[in-house]
Amino acid sequence: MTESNETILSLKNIKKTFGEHQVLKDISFDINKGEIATIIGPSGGGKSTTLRCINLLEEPTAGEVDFHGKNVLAPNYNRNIYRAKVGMVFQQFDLFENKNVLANCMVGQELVLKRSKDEARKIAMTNLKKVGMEQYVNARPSQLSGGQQQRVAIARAISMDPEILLFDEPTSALDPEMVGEVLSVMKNLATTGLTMIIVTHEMAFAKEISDQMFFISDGVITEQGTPDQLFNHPQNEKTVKFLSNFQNN
Amino acid sequence: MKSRYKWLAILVALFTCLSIATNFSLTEADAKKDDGTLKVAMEANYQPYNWTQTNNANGAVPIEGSKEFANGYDVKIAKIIGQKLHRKVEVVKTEWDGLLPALTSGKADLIIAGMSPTAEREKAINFSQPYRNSTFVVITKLNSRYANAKKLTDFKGAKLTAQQGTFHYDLIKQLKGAKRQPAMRDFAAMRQSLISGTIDGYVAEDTESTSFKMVDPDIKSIPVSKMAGFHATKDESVTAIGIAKPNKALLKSVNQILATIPEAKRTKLMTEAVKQQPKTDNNKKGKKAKSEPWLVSMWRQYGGMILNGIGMTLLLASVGTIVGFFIGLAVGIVRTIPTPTTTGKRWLLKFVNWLLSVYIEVFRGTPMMVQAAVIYYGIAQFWHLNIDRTVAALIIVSINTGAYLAEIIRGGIISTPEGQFEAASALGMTHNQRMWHIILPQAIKNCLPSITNEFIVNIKDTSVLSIISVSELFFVGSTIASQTFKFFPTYLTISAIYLALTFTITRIFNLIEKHLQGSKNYNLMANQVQVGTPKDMEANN
Ligand SMILES: Nc1ncnc2c1ncn2[C@@H]1O[C@H](COP(=O)(O)OP(=O)(O)OP(=O)(O)O)[C@@H](O)[C@H]1O
Ligand SMILES: [Mg+2]
Repeated sequence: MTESNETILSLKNIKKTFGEHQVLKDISFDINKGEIATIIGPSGGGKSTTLRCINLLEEPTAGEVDFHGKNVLAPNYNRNIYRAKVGMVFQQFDLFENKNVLANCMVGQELVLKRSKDEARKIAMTNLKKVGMEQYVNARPSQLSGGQQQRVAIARAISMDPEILLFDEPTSALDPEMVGEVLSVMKNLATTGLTMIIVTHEMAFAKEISDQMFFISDGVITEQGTPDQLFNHPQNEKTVKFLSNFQNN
Repeated sequence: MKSRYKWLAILVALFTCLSIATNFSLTEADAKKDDGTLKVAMEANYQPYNWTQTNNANGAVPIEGSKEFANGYDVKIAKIIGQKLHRKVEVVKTEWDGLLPALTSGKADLIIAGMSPTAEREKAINFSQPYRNSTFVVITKLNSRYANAKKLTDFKGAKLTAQQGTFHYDLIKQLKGAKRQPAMRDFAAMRQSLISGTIDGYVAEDTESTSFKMVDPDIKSIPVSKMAGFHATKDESVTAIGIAKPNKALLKSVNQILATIPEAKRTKLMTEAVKQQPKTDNNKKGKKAKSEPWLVSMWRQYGGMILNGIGMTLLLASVGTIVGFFIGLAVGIVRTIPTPTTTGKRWLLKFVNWLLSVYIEVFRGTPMMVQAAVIYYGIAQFWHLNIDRTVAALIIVSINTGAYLAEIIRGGIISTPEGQFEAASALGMTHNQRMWHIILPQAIKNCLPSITNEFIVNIKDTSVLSIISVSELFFVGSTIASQTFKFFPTYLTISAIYLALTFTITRIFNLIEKHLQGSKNYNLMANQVQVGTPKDMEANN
C-alpha cells in the first residue's frame, strides 16, 4: 500500500450496452499508482463488465479510459501494448491448456514483450517462486488444483510486469480450503507497490487490503470511499442492505 | 518444446520427399510431351485384344505412368503403325468409358481397343478402316441347356449378358425370349458369372471364346452371326481405330498402313495374341505351378504390381490428408476471423467466406469419383492442359479432404473455450499470436481423431480414382482378378492389405495422440533446481 498521488488510470463516464440492455450507466473513477481498489456489489450489477471495459475485453459504448492521461479508446492507440501493461486474473483461471505451468508464464513475455527465452524463463521462475508454484513447472493446468491454477495465473500475469493488475473474483470458483492460499498471495503482491483493482465477495479481505472501495449496483457507483467509510459509515441504503445480507450469510 | 520441433521436422521432411516425388512425375510427364511417342489408348484388360503384363515379353510395350506393359492384338497392330510412322508406341491404360474422353482431350493419339465404329461414337471421333472383322457368339457352358442352340429362338429363357457400353449388349435383344441381365464391366466378370452359374451365357466375339476355351475347356461357343434373322451392321461387326476428329492427317496415314496388312497376317497376329495372353493356373496344370500355393504364385507374378499399388495408395492417402489438412486449416482459420470493423473489409470477408462455403458444399456434396472424372477429363478438354494422372489424383484427394477437414477444424476452433481467447487477449497477444500459439494447438489436438479418420477414409476411398486409371491398390487388384479369374482370393488378399494398412495407420495416429497428450504425471521439481531436461528430472527423483 504505497499509494502516491499520481493518477494512473481513470474511467470517465463509461457506458456499456448489450443490445437493449444498459449494463453500465455511468462509471467514473480514478486509480492512483500503487493503490489497491476493490469493487463490491450485488450480482449482475456490472462489476465484471467494468473490469472488462478497463482492459478492453469489452468495448465501452461511450466514455473514456485514460491510462497515464491518454485515452486508450482512441483509434491509433496501441491496445496490445496497453493490455500487456494491464494484467488480468480470471475467475476460472483460464490457464492455457496446451502449455505447462512454465510455458504459461513465458509465452506472453516472449510474444508480446519480445523477451528472450532465457530471460522469460528466469522471470517466470522468480514469479512462480513468489506464488509458491516453482515445483510444478512441468505440470499441465489440468493436473493442478483450483488454488494452484489460480496462483499460476497470478504468476503468469505478473511475469508481464504489469502496471495494473485486475482480479475478477479470483477466489469464487475455489473450494473454501483453497481460498486462503490465493488471498495470501494477493496480500503479498499488495505490499510490492503494484496497482490492483479487485472484484471480490471476500469482505474481510477487502476491508483489510483496500485503499479505496467502490460499491457498484445497477451499473452505477452508488458509494465509494475507504473501507472504514463503507463498512462503518455507509451512506447509501443499497450498501447497507448488501453488507447486512453479507453478514447474515 | 523440443519435441514440437521434432514433429515439425518430420513433417517438413515428409513434405520435401513428396514434393520431390511429384516434381519427378511432373517432369517425367513433361518430357513425354514432345518426343515422337504414339500414344494408344486401350483398356489393357480385354483379351486377346489387349492386356497388361509385368514384363516386356513377346514384344509388349510400356504403359504410360507405370512399370507395366501391354500386349495383345491391338498392341501388335499399334506397333506396325508406330513402326511405319517412326514413332515409339506407348499405351495409355484407360477404363472403357474413359477411352473417348482420353482421345478427345488429347491424352492419346489413337484408340486401338477392340472398339467398333458405332454411329454414336462416330459423332465424337473418326474411325479408320477396320483392322479386324469378327463373328459373334454366345458363350455358355458345355453342359448348359442352351449348348445346342441352333436358332435364335433357342435361347428362350436364357439369362444372357454382355459388356457394359458395347453394342453386344443390344444384340441380346435379337435372341427372342432371352432374359437380358444387367451388363457387366468386363469379360473377367462375365466369365466368373458364367462359371458360378449366375448367368447362362454372354454375347461376345469369337476371339473371346477362343481365349476362354484355352483356360476353361468346359465352355462352348455358339456362333450366332450366321443364324437366320440375326443382323449386325458392318459398323458393329468390325473393329476400327479411333482418331480425334481434327487429326485428318493421322487418319489418312493409319488407313494407308492398314491397307498394307493382309488378312492372313491379321489372322496370324490374332492367333499369336490368343496364345500369348496371360494364362491362369488351369493352363499350367502338370507344370510346376501345381505344387505352388496360389498366393505364392500370384505374389511371384504380381508382387511388384501389388507393391506399387500399395505405394500409390499410401502416396495418395498421405499427401491427400496432409495437403488437405493444410487446406482445411487455412479455410478453417479464415472462416473464424472475427468480423472486421471497416465496411470494406467486412464485405470482402463475407465474400471470401461465401466462396469457401461453396467450395465445402460442392466437394462434400458430390462423389469423389465424379469429381475425378470431371476434373481430369474436363481440364484436358476445355483448357487443353494435360496433367499427369497421378498429379491429378493427388490434387483431387487433397481438395476433397480439405473440404471435410475445413469444417472439422472450424468446429475445433469454435469449441475452444472462450476463456482461452480472453486470457491470451489480456496478455496483449495479437489475433495471429492467439490463433497460432493458443487456439490452434488445442483445436488441432482435439481434431486429431477426426483427422485420423479422414486418413483411413482416404486409404479406402482413393480406390474410386481407378476411374482415371490411377494404378492404386484397387485398380491393381481388379487387373489381377480379371487376368487370373481368381476373383474371390484376389479381392480377399486386397482387402487384407487394406485392413493391414488402416490398422497400422490407426496405431500410428494413436501414438501421436498419446504423445501430444503428454505424460499423465508431472515431476515435482526440487526448490533450487532450474528447469532441465526430463533426464535431469529423473535423476532428481
Ligand atoms: N456479453 C454479454 N451480453 C449480454 N449481457 C451481458 C453480457 N455480459 C454481461 N451481461 C449482463 O450484464 C449485467 C452485468 O453483468 P456483470 O457480469 O458485469 O455482473 P457482475 O456484477 O460481475 O455480477 P457477478 O457478481 O454475478 O459476477 C448482467 O445482467 C449480465 O447479464
Ligand atoms: Mg462478475
